[in-house]
Amino acid sequence: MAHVNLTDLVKRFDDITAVDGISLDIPDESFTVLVGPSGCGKTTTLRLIAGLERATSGEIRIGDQVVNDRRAYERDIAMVFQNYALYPHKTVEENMRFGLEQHDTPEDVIEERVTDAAELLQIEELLDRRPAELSGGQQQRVALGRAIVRDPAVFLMDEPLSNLDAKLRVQMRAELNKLHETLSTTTVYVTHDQVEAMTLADQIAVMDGGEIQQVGAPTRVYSNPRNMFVAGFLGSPSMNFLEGTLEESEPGMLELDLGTHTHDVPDEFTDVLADRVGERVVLGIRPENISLSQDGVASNLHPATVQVVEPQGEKTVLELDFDGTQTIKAAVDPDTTVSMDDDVNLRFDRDSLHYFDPKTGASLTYETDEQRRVTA
Amino acid sequence: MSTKRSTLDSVVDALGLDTEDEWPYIVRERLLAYALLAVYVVVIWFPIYYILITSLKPTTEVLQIPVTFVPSHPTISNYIEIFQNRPFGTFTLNSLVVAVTTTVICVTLGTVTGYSFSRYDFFGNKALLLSIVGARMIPPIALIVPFFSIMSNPPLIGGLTGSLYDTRIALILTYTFFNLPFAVWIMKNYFDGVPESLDEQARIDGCSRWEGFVKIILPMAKPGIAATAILAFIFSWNEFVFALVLTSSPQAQTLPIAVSLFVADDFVDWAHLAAGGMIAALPGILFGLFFQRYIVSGLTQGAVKE
Repeated sequence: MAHVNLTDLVKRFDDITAVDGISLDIPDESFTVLVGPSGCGKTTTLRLIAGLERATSGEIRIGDQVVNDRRAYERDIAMVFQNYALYPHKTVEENMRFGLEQHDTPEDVIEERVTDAAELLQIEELLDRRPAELSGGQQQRVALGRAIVRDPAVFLMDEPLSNLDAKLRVQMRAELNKLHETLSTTTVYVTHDQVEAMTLADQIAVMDGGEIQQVGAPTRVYSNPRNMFVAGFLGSPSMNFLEGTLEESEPGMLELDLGTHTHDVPDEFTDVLADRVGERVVLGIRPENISLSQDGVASNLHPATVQVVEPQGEKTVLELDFDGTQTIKAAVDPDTTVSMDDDVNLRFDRDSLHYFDPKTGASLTYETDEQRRVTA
Repeated sequence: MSTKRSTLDSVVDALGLDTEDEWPYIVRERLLAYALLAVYVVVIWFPIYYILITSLKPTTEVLQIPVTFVPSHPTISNYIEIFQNRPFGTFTLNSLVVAVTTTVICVTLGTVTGYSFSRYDFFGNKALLLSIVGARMIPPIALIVPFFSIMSNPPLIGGLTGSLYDTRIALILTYTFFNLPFAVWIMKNYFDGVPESLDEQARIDGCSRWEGFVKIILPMAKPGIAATAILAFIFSWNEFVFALVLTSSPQAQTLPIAVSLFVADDFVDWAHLAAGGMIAALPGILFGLFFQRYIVSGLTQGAVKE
């Protein structure tokens, strides 16, 4: 086991900067997920840790060792590739043994490790088969088995579930969780699937444009995003953004003028937003934090018109015309009976509001929210 | 009627049709297809059959009119005589040495070069590949005179070796020139179809680049290597024009030339020519029969994205 530490890591391919000076601490025994859209630099970061790419600058530490100049096999890591990268001409057992044989591991140790890993992953009966004779799920297990037998300091996984069908993916996700609990090996996992990231990680690093946008526990990052990118990337449907002008409604009270609507700013944010009166500000609210109100006269209700109703089983997603120019989404109770063109009143959960600077995208209320949660 | 019906039934059974309603149309369609294929097979195989029976006929029967399509007195004396009366052993050895050496060189260089082009992104990569493969686009006939001139008086190593004219080396170098671009192209395509993550997994498993290539990638490239080897071998074994121009004596002449020597100004020794022709054709036929699946998979690798 080992912690992994990245400091000011940069990777350039000719004119393209794939990784732009990231620093990240991956604690020992943690399950850290690098998540972000295609081209955000997450896979390149993983490959830099693996030793499959050379860093342009910066430092990579595994344990206490700087490993920048070490070859892949000298880094004590094992990697699971998106396409599994099983050697097609070797049997499952030969695939699992190969890495150990290359490291001159004694035969009895190889036997023991392969048997143990096969048992753990329930692939004992597949040992004599070749990869082409296995299903996608079985290939995935073998790839994991090959990584496990190495007993490495760090597991590196590059979207290992993305080639599986939806049902198998959910099943393997649970198994990966169990496996990590059993082995407690430091794991760095790359995915673009936010659900995978949220369910597997105990630390999540959201990446975009070669930079880490936010690091933290998944629920914390989800509930208090640092910027509009993180806020919009995590969550499905993604967070609603409504842009308006901040105004002082009465001394010490702020409201956001959204055109046809005004929205009262919660008291805890008035201090931090006070110096932005007269400026444009973006209000962010997640669809699940919007409810339909039966009370037509209460304050802070926003009238809207239903445009699309999407029943999704556990929830119903409504697409609503907010003010003729902006649409927002609300995830409501599946029993809610609304249909297209219905006029409804929306209530925003005042504990789940976020305010962003429209120019930089940075959250204006991140620090206040953090303090509030610490106090709570 | 009943006989006709039962014959059709057996055809229907043989073709694996199970419903009575569909057989008349399908039988007609399939019979037509099989008939066309049968004609094609006859056209393709008849020359080989004809040279085979000619090689097994005594000289008197070869010129007999009407022509016999089954030898009345089959004999292998023609085969024995060409080895006794002419240096056919030497010709065969020359062919083997030239073809095998060319094949080994092309496969070895083609494999490592193809792998390099597939995996390494170096300056001028594409231009270099284009120039190598493009060299093969020149019609070989246009290069006969330059090759004759170069082999007669090699500009670089002439001082050391003297003329390469009428040597096996001249043929090996020439055939390598023509086959290596093919080998590089086939192998590059083949390696393009092998996911790079396998190389990387090998590196993580403890292999150097070279070890990963030898232990993991090369065993997977067997069909590509087989295709390259077969094509290089058959080309070198069959080649006639350059062998005719670059050699003049049995010390370097190959089987195609040896066979042509049975044609004199006023007489063609058909029986011995046929026997020599059969020996010359045998490797090609055998390779075609047993290894054609490798040729197909080797040439089509990378043609479709899986």
